[in-house]
Amino acid sequence: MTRDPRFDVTTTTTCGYCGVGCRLEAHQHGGHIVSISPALDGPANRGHTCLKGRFAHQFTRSRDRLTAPFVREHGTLRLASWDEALDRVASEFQRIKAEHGPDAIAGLASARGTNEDAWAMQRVMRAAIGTHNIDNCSRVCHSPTSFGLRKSVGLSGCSGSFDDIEHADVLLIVGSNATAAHPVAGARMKQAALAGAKIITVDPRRNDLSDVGALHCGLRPGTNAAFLNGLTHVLIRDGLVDREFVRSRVEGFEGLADLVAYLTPDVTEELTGVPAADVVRAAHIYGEARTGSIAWGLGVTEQLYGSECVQMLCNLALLTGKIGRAGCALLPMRGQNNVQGVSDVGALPDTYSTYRSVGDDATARLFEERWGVPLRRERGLKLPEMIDAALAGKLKAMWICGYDIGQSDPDSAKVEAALANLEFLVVQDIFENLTSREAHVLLPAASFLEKTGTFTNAERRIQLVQAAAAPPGSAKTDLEIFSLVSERLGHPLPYRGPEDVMLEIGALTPAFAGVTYERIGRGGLQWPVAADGTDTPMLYAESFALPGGKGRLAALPFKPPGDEASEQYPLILVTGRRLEHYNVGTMTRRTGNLELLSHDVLEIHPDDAAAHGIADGALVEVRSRNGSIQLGAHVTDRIEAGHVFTAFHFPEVRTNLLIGQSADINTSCPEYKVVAVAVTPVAVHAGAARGHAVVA
Amino acid sequence: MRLTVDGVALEVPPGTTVLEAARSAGLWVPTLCFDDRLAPFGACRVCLVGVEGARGPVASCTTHCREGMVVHTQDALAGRIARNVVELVLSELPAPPAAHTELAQVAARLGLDATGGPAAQRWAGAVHEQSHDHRHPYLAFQHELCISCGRCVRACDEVQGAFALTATGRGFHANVTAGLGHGFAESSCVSCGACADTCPTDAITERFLVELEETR
Amino acid sequence: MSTNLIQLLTRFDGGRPTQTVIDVLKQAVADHGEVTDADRRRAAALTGLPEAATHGVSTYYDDLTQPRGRRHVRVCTGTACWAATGSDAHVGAAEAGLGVGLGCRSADGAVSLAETVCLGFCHAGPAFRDGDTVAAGPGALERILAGAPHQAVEPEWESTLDEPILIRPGDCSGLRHALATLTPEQLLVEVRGATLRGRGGAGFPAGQKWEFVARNPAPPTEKFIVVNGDEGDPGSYIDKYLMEKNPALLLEGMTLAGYAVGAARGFVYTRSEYPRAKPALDAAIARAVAAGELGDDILGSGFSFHVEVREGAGSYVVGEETALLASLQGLRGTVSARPPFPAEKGYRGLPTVVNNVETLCNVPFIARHGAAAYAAISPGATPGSKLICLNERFARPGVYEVRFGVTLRSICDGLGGGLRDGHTIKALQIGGPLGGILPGALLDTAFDFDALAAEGCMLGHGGIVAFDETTDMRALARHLLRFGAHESCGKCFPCRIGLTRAWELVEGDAPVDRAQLEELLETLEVASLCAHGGGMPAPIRSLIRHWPQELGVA
Repeated sequence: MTRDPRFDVTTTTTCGYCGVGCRLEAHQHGGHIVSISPALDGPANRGHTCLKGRFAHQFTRSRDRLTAPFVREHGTLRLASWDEALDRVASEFQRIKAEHGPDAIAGLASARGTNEDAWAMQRVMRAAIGTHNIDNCSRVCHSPTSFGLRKSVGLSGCSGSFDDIEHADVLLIVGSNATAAHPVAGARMKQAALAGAKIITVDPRRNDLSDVGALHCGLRPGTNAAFLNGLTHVLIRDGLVDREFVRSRVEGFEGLADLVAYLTPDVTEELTGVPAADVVRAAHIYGEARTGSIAWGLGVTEQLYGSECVQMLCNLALLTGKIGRAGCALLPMRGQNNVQGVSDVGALPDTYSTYRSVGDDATARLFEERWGVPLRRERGLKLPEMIDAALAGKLKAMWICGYDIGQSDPDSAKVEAALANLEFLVVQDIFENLTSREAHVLLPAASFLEKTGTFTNAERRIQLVQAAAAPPGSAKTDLEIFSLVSERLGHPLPYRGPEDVMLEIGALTPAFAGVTYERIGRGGLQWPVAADGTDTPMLYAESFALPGGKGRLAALPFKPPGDEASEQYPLILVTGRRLEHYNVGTMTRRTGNLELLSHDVLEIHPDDAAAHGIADGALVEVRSRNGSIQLGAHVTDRIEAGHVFTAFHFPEVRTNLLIGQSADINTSCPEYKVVAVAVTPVAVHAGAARGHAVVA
Repeated sequence: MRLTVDGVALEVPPGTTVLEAARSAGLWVPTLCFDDRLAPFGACRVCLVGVEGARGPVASCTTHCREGMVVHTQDALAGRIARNVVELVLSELPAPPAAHTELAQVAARLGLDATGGPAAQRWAGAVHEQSHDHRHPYLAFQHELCISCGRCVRACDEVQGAFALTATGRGFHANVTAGLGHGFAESSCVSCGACADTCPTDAITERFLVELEETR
Repeated sequence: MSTNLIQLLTRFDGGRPTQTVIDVLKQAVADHGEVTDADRRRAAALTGLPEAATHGVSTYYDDLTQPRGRRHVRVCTGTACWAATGSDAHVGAAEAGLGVGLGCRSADGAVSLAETVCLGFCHAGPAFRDGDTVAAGPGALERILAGAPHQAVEPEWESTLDEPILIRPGDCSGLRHALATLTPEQLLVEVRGATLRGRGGAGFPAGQKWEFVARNPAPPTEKFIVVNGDEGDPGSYIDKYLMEKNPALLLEGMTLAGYAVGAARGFVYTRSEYPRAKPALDAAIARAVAAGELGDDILGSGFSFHVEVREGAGSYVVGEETALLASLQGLRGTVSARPPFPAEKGYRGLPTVVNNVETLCNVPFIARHGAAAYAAISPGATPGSKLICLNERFARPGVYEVRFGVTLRSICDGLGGGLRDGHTIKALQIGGPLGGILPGALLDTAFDFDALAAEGCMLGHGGIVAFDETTDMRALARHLLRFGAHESCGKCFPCRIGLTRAWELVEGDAPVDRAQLEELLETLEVASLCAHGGGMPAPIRSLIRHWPQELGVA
């Protein structure tokens, strides 16, 4: 097809919304993105994309974009020059480091930014400031996935590719509402189901895939472990284990078999609420299939024992030999565009790139040699620890990039107090947000459509991001900002541009050894990438990335969740994403998507609605042990009785005020998915249907 | 299996269509209802090619390659008929298709005047009635531009699985609509835009782009 | 046909639907005169089809798009009714008499007038249907307008064979014989050996279709026998006769087909224009099941075969086999490109034999007497016999069973007794609207596939419509092309647009550019997806060839 005369320039790039990693053609006219269409050769999206990737680009030209730096003076933010703002950042960091040591400073890298941005930031934090206090938002989403996969199979990433969806005879989908949260992958799953694949959904709430699935298991929130171990029981009991695979490639069978012996389908039913017959059916559908893949989302991870549940999911694949071949993928549905990559490249407090411990001397020496500075061997603070340290006055400064912890992190009131307690807060973002209210310096950044680099999607695919438009006003890319700050801190970054960053990543990271932009090309590269450029669409075909090469079955018992329904809080709240919006809505609320979905509602089962005197559309108060919010009710039988559901896209609702401190035992990932609440009707007044935050 | 397309010997896997084989050889075959993302439909009849031994030109999108097949994409009859079909398509529109559309580009490549000149006048007759729906924040219906290629309906079905679109009516009056005909928002549409993406005429397009064109 | 929509249906009903979207919507029209959004939503909820798809269905079929008043009158616009007066005068008269336009309902909802093609009363046209009464012939409209219609007489039927194959009561002798003495493979061999050519129009050997399906993998894959009873050809009432008067023969033929290919279920798709066909078949099914000749363990053989009857909603193209399968499943009756053929992916995506009614009615004879006896019936011609029907212009209209190879003259003058009232044959249209038009001077042509093809005509389904000497051939072109354009399913571009353009060319009285018309006809012939667009040029080409002056192309 010839060039479209309506557009000045068309740039192929990678979507900055969810972790599917759609390749997009961004069409520019008059300096603005005016349209986006899917790249026909995108490996994950294959010529398709969703209403976010395709349409939600108006935010880039929103009038309230940050277009110039601000600094706080006499309590208020005022416009400043870049020099003034950057000097202030550098001098404050240097002052605090001098007064309180480098660990009084912490940084949060953005899972929305590029691999190159994240790499540069962790280098600034580690090399220029001298602390491992760097984390990213995977802490609150898929850190348990990373933990669990590394324990069971070795590497922190999908074991296969999205292409395994079409090769799978069965898709076990746990705690993931893919058609809403990962629409393009969800659409592929739906098509696979219509073409004959059997889908089993495991979720307290029915979703679109349940509707085309073979079986829906509507379990009680917080009981994933009981369900998964219950499946394991049936697999073993009914001879659905691949004995040869287990014998030759897996260890830990006996321990697991002993552990799950008591979890008969009846016991599983008692614990989870899923009928015993369905537990058996699910095990047989999965176990008897020739090929099967397992996809999971935050419904697995954001729980007290989320990381253990990831190991239990791995158990299923290891027991049945459904890993390391076509159609058999362990497929974590990563929430943000680059939450995989930002962790891969080491924006974490305990690991360098590809999850090598900061305590590992050999690795540390490699980095020291390259960067020419000594590096610490003790890990830094995880994000929740940063919040605690800030509240305790030990953490003095934070540099938060592209991450609105004020809206998205649990216990919003606590986060707010922690931010207020900081001596110095730098927020680097594309809009003002709930986090930036406390900022001392506000730096205007470039959006994903305005920068160059790479994202890594949920299938470990490193894909190119190309600037399709210029940032507004004087906004700069994160990489530029990190370079300017680092230089002022006396540690100039030696990068002429993003590709130099990638070459450095490759030089210091064996799994990225062969990554160059040229090789990434239009099709991307799935890490590990050998020095000759050979990538790895499928892991574990021969052996697992663990000492001895064997996969590890984890014998982990079911334990109750951190929060439980009680007389005072009789319902369990589950939170999640809606199709039209993305996370805290920073981008999507500034687009026509707001017209498609203008406010949040609380989904409640008709029985519960009747019991609590709640009519469809009525304004309700939702109260947890932690806080309370108000919003409209939507009575629906899509959710199991005993549970309620809402999203967290709207700052006026501030759902996360309700979330407490309970978190995954291994990774501190907050337990967003199990919160005991009480729901009561609110006296009707004008504007009843819209949400209102009730800030304590 | 092996076949020859315009004198080029090709080897293709069984099940390959003649259109796929021709395109794999870098040959251009005009199409209007075809989209790589969708199953072949065989509606537009513009992808005609000559096949030695066949009774006449065949639709390459729905014809499977056979061992020893000899295909001519430049077959004179096929070319003439394809051109006639596109000419008929142009004649059903009340206005010439915009230059960026696939229809306009296919027409131009077949040497047809798609700008409303004599070609359109040769078939003066009924045209589709203007009917616009701009209620969705992103998607716009311009029903008079619909040529019933079914790509939008199939994209909604085969790619997104939303089943929000349907063909309506029959014969010359065939068209498309969302849901029960009360706009995208009242249907099972998930606003993925696959319909607008595949539409070869802008019968479904992006509202913003329509507005952009209007301001020019 | 969308495989996903079929999937959704099967997921919903497990392959055992009790009703289709078409059934639900037809009932809605019968209940309250039109399809509403609530009906479409209900149809979706009752069938598992998405709402949008039900909307698409509701805008496709004549029965669903034309509103009904408390009194609903249908006027037949088929070719035989047209030929009765050489015009559509009866349509205009009905509109004027009822005070309501075609396809409309009076403002007070009292009366509505709908177009229908065709009622199968071609022996007595022009025909009308007033409620459940079909009235036909001179005076019929006047009686309707007077509120006193009476049911038209049924046509005569007669076989010219000593031992008729088709015009005889179905007595289950072929089925008894086959189940007792033949394996399914042996029956298949007989049917193949008999060279039973499809009687629906295309003439494809039935045995070959059966073999494709028989060879498809055995259970658990279910297979189906689908009977194409959508005898849409205006001017034909052959299958109508077989379904209404001799349903047992059809059921016997279907059951034999099921036995031969390993199918346990069959469907008869009937037309809503033949309202008596479904009740007749349903009654015959009940009788056969009661007699042990249908259903479980037929005649103690262990073979089981079940038949359901589904009725359409008004569409000519639904007679094409892929469109028929779509309609049978309640979808829009549009044509699909083949492959896949129904033998591979038919009803619910499973292997399916689709045979015409008359085709299957030949099978009991073959099963009983064998391929050789069947071939001996029409020596030197196509094996077996053929039913033909003659329109109202003939002195003795009716359904006749004839041998292949007899001359048209023997049919028209011998059986039909020439035209009535001293009229002479100006032309014949044989085999439906897609058949060529043969001048009266060529009546010595043999009635068989190849001989007719040599004259640009076709045997088709065997309907013969005579046009008398008063017929205006330009008006006939208008009539045929209006029908062609109205019935185009809208799927393929040449037919969807081309037939409307062709109709527009002849619509007025202006001279027609012959080169332009022929180029259009060639485009339709070469490029159309199915025989509708591909066949509509045939009669127009005949008119160009034999009556260029009258047509205005000279």
